[in-house]
Order: sequence, then structure tokens, then C-alpha cells
Amino acid sequence: MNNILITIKKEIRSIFRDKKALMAMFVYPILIPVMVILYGSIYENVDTEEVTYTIGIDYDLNTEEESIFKEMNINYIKYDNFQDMEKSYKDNEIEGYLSYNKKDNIYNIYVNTGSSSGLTTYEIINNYLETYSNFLTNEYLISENIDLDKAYNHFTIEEHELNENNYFVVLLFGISLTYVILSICIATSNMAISTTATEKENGTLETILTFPIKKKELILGKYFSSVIVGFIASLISLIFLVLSLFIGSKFYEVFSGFNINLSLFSILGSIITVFGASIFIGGVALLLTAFARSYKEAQSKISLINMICMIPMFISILEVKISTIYYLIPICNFEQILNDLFFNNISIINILITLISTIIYTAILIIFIIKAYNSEKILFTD
Amino acid sequence: MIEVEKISKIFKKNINKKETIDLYADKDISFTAKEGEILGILGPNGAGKTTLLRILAGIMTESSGTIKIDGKTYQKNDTEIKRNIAFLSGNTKLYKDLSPYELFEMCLEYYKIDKKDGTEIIAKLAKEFAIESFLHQRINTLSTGQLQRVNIMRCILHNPKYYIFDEATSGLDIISSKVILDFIKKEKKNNKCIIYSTHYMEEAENICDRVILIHKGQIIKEGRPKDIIKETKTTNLRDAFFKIIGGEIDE
Repeated sequence: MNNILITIKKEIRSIFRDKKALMAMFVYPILIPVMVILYGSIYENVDTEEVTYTIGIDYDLNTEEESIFKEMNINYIKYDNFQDMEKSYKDNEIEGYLSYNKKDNIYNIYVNTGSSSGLTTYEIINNYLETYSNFLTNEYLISENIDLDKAYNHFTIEEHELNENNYFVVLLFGISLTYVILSICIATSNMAISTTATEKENGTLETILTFPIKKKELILGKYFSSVIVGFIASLISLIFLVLSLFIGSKFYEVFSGFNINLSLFSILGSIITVFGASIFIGGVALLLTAFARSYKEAQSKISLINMICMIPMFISILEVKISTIYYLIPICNFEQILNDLFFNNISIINILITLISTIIYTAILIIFIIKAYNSEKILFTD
Repeated sequence: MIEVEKISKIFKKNINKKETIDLYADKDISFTAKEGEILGILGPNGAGKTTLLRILAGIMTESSGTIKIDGKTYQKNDTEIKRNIAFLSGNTKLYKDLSPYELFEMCLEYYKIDKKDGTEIIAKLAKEFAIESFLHQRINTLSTGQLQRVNIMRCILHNPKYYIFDEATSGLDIISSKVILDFIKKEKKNNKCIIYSTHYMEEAENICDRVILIHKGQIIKEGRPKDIIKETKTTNLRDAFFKIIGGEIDE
């Protein structure tokens, strides 16, 4: 058997027997369905829960006003004077209040728009006043024998939704893709730590160096085992992600309009993308851990990659417009390509940029890893 | 035959941000070791024994000089030479997640020994080293004595011509040490060449055909133990060593 394959077999067998490493590797893929279902449930409750707001008024409503209040389902409390209404607000009995100055014909709205309940109350009062104002306008137009249809309907407005997916699903998908990339980081990092730092710390590296194996073969064996483990973790994450979104869409209405592209091209494309991510991140992890003398030192070095992986998530939350240069940034580009593939925004140029840049970055990384392994300072800690 | 000619190993040490100094772990070391011979490399801790043996085993590279093993050099025949060498150090650890059987299987794969032949070799040696009862047990569950036997069996699996033992008995109890020393004697009878480093002078005196005394990275004496003792007019190798270095102890 080829020395690279023997090394891969040894490393993978070793990692799959390490329960702690195995747990750490698969915690992120498992977190994806948990997160999707949990977020779906939280957002669903927020969406469906009916919150009623009560406003205070210090004047008598006429019949029309009363019917608008009723139609708009507005809760209100009538106060005899302004001071009582003010006190009631301070005692949190009402969310805002409306005072009418009959002499100057002014409605005064008192709300705290700094709070979400205050802002909603403001919108409710504003809607009510607008409706009442429209009613009064209609009354006037009718009294003046003006055709209401001609007065109002100058043109027709028709709305067409361009985004097939709702904001919630797009956001959740973006966060989940970060978890997919994170799962590669965690898996490759654990493997890289096991193949380098742990082997140095345990003293087994010296043993293996006495075997008839070239250093290059040894490094490539270690590198490919990191890539394989990262790739397995990413595939599990992707499957969990798609399945949990489908399951979520069956149970929660917030997923309505959930529509991702699951064509053969996008599936194959996403597999190639996560493989690309695995070969790059595997290289970074192996290079960083090669310089570590112990398991602890390697872990602190590796935490850097995990932090970098979080960047695309923040970018997706910020909804920044992505330029072509973005596809040159490793890790960010993998997540963006996955997003593009699943939401049908495929651009061959962006795919090529990601592919070529990944090959170049990975080749540079492998050269550095081989150089590092040729250094006795790095191989021997004593 | 192992031929070592003027081997030096220099380590660079930073003394400040800009300056480095050269530290000689070994300087101008020359010797030969033949089949059927036990050659002892003796010296105190920090004398340069481990570095020298790592260079001999091909896991470190010499800064200058040449090593020829059966006329071949590591620069040109790295894997070919390593197929004929077994290296065992006091620090040699085994893969604790594997069982001895899996470890042997992996070693045989690296040494390109056919699986069928390999299975036969494992079965024969496991019986010889009495490790059949724990052959499929995880290495991390084995006792120090059992580990020692597994380690020795790992070395012998590919039937090497040369054994390089670096402080192999260091820190072991009397029984575990005896296992290694008996093994060395047995392999000598099989016409194998054993290069054996230790700082236990009495042990070396009993087992080695020839010894090389190293101090501060340089050979200070070479010859048969009894000749060195006779020449220095002492009664044992320890006293001979101190006489040669003039009682100078500088770690």
C-alpha cells in the first residue's frame, strides 16, 4: 500500500477512536438542525403571538371614532383628565396616550418611540388618526358632490414580490452555512492537532520518522486525513442543513416561501465547494499546528481559524453587497459560493475565481507545511 | 557496515534578536560498526548521544560529514536504508489507540511486507515474545513490561540488519531492562549490528564489544571496554571515563 494511504488509514483510525475529538468534530453538524428548529420555533411564536396595546384618551369619542377604534381592534381607556392619564402611563397601565385640544383642533400623541411597544403604539394611533382624517375628507368631498373615485384613484398599484425566499430563511441559511464551514474547521483542526501536536507530545512522531517513509509522503498523509475528516463533517452538515430546513418548512409558517435550488448542479457544486473549503482549511490547520509543541498550544493557535470562520456570518447579517473581489478571500468565498448555488445566483466567473484562488492558496500552504516539516526545530521539541 | 566520517551537528541558538551562535551537539565524530558487533555510545546526559543516534537513524540530518550504511547515504537512499534499520529510544512511544496487532500490521505495511507473510511473522513473534494474550488489547491498557515487549517486537518485525538503541533501558526496572539486554545479546548472535547508547557504564561494560566515549559532542576514547579500563589503570568504565575527562563534570 502506498505510504500516503497507510498514513491516512492510521490517522483516521486514530481520530475515530478518540471519543473527545469525535464529539468535537460532529457537534457543529448536529447543532445545525437544533438551531434551525429552535430559531423556527422562536420566530413562529413571535410572529403569531397577538400582543395588545392599550392607549389612553382624555376626550369623548364620537360614533365614527368609536367605530374606527372597534374596527381597528384598539384597546383604550377613557380618562377624565390629562393628569390621571399621565399617571396611568407612569404606572404602566397604558402604552401611550392621546390628548385632544378641541379649541385649537390639535391631537397630541404621547409615546416613547425608543421602546418597541411605544413605537407600535405610535403606529396604532397614527393609523387611527389617518383613518379618521380620511373619513372626514370623504365626508367633505361627498358634501361638495365630488366623485370619490376620481378624487382618489389616479392610478393602479400592483405589487410583485421579487425575492422568492423570506428574509428569515435567507438569514438562517446564511448562519447555517457558517456552521457548515465551522464544522470543517473543527474537524480539520482536531485532526491536524492529533496528527501533529499530539504526535509530537506523545513522542510517536520520532517513531514514525524511523520508518521507510519520505517526509513528503508523511505530510501528505497527514494533510489528506485532515481534508477527508473535514469533508465528511461538511457533508454531514450540508445534509443536516437541507433536511432541517425542509422539516422546518413543514412545521413552521416562518419558513413559508422557502425555496432553495436543489438541482444536480447545485448539489454537485456545493459538494465541490465544501471539498475546496476542506483542502484549504485543512492546510491552514496543519500549518498552524505544525508549529505547536503541545496539544494546548495547538488548540490556542487553531482558535484563530474558528474566529475567522465567523466573519462571513457577520457579513451575511449585515447584508453587504458582495463584489467579485470578495471571492478571492478564502473561507468567505466558500460560504458565498454555497449561498449563490442554493439561491440560484450562480456566476461562472465567481466560481472560477474561488476555484483558482483556492488551488493557489492550498499549493502555497502545502509548500510551507513541507518546509516546516523539514525543520528539525519544529519536529523535535527537546 | 555503518561508516561514520567526521559527523558534526550544529544547532543555531538565538542569543538576541539579531545574533545567533553555533552550538555543536556533535563534532567530527568518526567510527565504524560491523555486523555481529555491539557498539556502545557512552557519555553523560547532554554529551550528544541522542543527536548522533538520530542522525544514524535518518531522522536528523548532519551539518557536515558523511554516513554510509552498506555503502549508501541517506541523501540518496533514505527509505532503502531505513528498511534495514530499527530505532528504539527510551522516549519511543507507541500509538495508544491501536492494539499491538494493528501497530505491527501498520509497521509491516510501511516496510512493504506482504500481508500474508506479515500475518505469519506477527503470529510467530507474538508467540516468541509471549504477547499473544494482549495482542488485540489497546496499547494504552498495557503495563510497562508488556509495552517494552511490544516495542521490541515492533523493531524486529522487518528483520533489520542494524539496531539503534538510544537509552533504551533508561528508567526501566531491572526485569524490563533485562528483556532488552537479552534481546541485544540474541541479535548479536544473529550477526546483527547493534549501536547502543547509555549512560549506565556498568551495563555497557557487560554487553558491548566496543565502546565510544563521548564528552561535549566529541569522541574522547574508543576501544574495547577491558582495553580502556586497562589503559586508564582503573577498575571500571565509569572511573575510566572520569580519568579521561580529568574529573571535569560540566553539564
